[in-house]
Amino acid sequence: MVVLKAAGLAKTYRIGFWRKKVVALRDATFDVRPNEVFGLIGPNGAGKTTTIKILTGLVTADAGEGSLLGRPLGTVGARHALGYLPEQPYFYEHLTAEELLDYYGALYGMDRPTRQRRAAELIEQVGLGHASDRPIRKFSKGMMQRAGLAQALIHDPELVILDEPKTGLDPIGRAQVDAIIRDLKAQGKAVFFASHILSDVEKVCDRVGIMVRGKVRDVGPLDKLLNAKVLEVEVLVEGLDEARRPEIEALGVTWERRGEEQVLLRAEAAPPAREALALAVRAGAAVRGYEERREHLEDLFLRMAKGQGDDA
Amino acid sequence: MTREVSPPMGRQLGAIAWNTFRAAIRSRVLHGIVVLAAALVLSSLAVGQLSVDNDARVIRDMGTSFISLTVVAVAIFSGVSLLQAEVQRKTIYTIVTKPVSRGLFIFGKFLGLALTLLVIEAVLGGVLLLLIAVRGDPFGVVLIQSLLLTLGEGLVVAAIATFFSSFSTPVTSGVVTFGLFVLGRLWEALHRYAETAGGEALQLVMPVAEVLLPDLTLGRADLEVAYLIPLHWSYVAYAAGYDLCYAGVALLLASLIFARRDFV
Ligand SMILES: Nc1ncnc2c1ncn2[C@@H]1O[C@H](COP(=O)(O)OP(=O)(O)OP(=O)(O)O)[C@@H](O)[C@H]1O
Ligand SMILES: [Mg+2]
Repeated sequence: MVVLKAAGLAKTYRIGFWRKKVVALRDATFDVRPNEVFGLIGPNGAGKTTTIKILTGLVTADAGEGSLLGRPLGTVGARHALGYLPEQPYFYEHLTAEELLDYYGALYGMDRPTRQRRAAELIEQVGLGHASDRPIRKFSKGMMQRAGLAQALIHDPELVILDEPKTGLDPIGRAQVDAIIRDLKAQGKAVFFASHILSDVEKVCDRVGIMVRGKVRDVGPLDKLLNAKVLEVEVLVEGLDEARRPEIEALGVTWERRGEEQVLLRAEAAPPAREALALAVRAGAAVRGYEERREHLEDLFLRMAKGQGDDA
Repeated sequence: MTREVSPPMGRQLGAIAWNTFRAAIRSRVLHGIVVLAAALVLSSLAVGQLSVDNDARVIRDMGTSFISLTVVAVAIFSGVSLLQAEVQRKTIYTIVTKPVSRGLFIFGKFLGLALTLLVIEAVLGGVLLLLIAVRGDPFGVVLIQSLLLTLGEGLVVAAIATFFSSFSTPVTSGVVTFGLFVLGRLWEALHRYAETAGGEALQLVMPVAEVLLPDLTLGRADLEVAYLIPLHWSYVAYAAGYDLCYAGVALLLASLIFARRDFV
């Protein structure tokens, strides 16, 4: 069983008087397993929010199908145990945070004592304790985001969908979001979130999906998606004579002076780097540093983005 | 935790209605309107003094008319923004993604608006009745009956506004609703005109108009109020039933349209 399934979801918006077509989503295919934290990452405009709007029933897909907790998308049943934080959430200005959570709790059918208990807990958990009786009209952007997180969790959902949960939050708020996500995982829940901030995903996700230009390109655990191959090796040596430079460069290693004493040798693979290193040691230089740089999420992103023209 | 049963619809409906009502009564604009309308009702006192013989009648006439116009105005303005405000401010994102059907959302919102109209009418009606009592003017049950009929009319107008705003802009919805309100008030006159003078085109249009146009003349009891002639309660019940059916159908259609909309 999967808690969230998306198969070939697609959406084209029509805008303006001439109903001009804007392809927002071409193919979103992935699933989220029970008790998994899944991150959907992609650059601005990739289609992450569109995917989430289809999943939560705000928008109907033109093609494809999906389910939440075993129920087809767009049905009331699919949303019973779903918690959702919209992108840049906005709430009823006339309510206080407490009243807001009470209202949403009632929509989930929770009784009053349970609502009040959960609301109080969550307001503390998201760090709004000092403002629980202030009208939302007076909330700052980050406070709004925190209220949004609280309402997504009010009914103890099985699956939580968060659209850029860290937008507008200060460092403490960001850490709290990480803590909330880890907490949900520890309680056996599943979390699906969208982000374009790569470090967010690296920290908390079990698996990620990479979305570029309306298509989910790759899904898997982060370390599987990243190329294990070494991209570049840097060796920093001290006291190496300039006379050695031609020999080193003949190995396909670049030579870059760093200050008076040091030289940075850079190779595209490990073997030439080691040869250069041996050469430098024989010549009496001291080794100050050795680093193999592997692929980071950033590189993967760039690699995907470069390949995006292929099937556009 | 498994949640196989749907959340109780009554609780959801109540929560949506209550939140809508609470937003309305916390709105400064509405406070202003009610105070202004109450002042207008009281101003009938001054106009009544100008009348030669029957100032009590003038006060009754003007008072009930002001109340009815206020209720209709609030019904139109609130009706056209009932759904639109939630869509524009994106608060709807957090509602229709809960286990709440869009139809239930519309009925809940409308219930909240109905409650608001009821309270406005109770306050203004209270002012009028108090004025009548303080002056020691004769009281008739028809005054209460006319207030009830006005509420029914307000509900019909609000439902029409809600219907149009489920697919068009607030301004368009407001203009069209106001037009239908005027035609609805002229229902009988239109009818008579069509029967006597009407050309062929009108003869064709009339049967359609009869079904679509709300008969708002049902809600007017001007003559009865003027001369304090009580209405049959069966008539009041009939008018109320008509209003509720008309509003119900308009809301049902609004739900069908709203259910298909993308919230982008
Ligand atoms: N309402 C709309 N009308 C027309 N086009 C839209 C609409 N919403 C989104 N789009 C287009 O669809 C594409 C995907 O947008 P989407 O909001 O899903 O991106 P995103 O991945 O969430 O981006 P971001 O990281 O900036 O939030 C974009 O090209 C955008 O211009
Ligand atoms: Mg987005």
